[in-house]
Amino acid sequence: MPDPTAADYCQFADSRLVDAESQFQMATALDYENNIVGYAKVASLIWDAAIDILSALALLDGVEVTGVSSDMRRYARYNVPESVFRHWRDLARLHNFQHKPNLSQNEFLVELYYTGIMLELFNRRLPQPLRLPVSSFDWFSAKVPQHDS
Amino acid sequence: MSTHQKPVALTPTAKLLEKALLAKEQSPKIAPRLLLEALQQRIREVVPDHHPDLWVAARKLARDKDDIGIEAAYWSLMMFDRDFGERGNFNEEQWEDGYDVAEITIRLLEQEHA
Repeated sequence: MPDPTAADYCQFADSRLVDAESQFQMATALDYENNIVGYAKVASLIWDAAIDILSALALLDGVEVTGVSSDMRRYARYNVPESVFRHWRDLARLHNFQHKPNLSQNEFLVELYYTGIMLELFNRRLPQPLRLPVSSFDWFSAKVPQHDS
Repeated sequence: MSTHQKPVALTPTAKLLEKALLAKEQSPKIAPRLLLEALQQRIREVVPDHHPDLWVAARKLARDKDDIGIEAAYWSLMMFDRDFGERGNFNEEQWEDGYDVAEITIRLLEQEHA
């Protein structure tokens, strides 16, 4: 089986985000404390989608895709604008949540919001035919808690 | 021509970042707090009439500059301090994520106000 192309990775990401949104809608319809597994599934799909989009960008840049998360982090650190990379830690917290669900619901929703911003900015770096629809990212901010200020 | 170069004075934020790096090796419990303090220091410099709650000030600065990254960076460092500040058991990758957020955001703010 041939290695995935950038277009393949974009399709994988699109499919994962559709799945993640669906999981998110189901998860938020239930009590948070009793549905941590559902949120962890959302976090897992988002992480994988992020790695897929980065893999597509890396391939388009002629960079080898290893599938190793630390390699993808390094690629993002030095190949996407720093103003975008600043959101990486939010994605990393979602990634950790899969293994150690230690975020409150509000914290999860805030991390989701900031991560969505980064993914949308990653997406904008893809050439137009490969870009995911902008609507793929709308749900990331749909339930973000409002700050008091 | 003299080969001696005039020493470059570190800015208060750069000093705090250096202190954080040192603390990471010697007393990791306080290292995330120092990263947050470095960003807070830079916000104080950029916005002299800032809100006393620097989280509020960071969000206002983000709005004024239309740069959500400032708010996200503050949030990230606040959470880093909370998650690991007391236990000091973050791993190398978590530390790099936190340090990069602080260093990049401070530098971008410095460039804008140079």
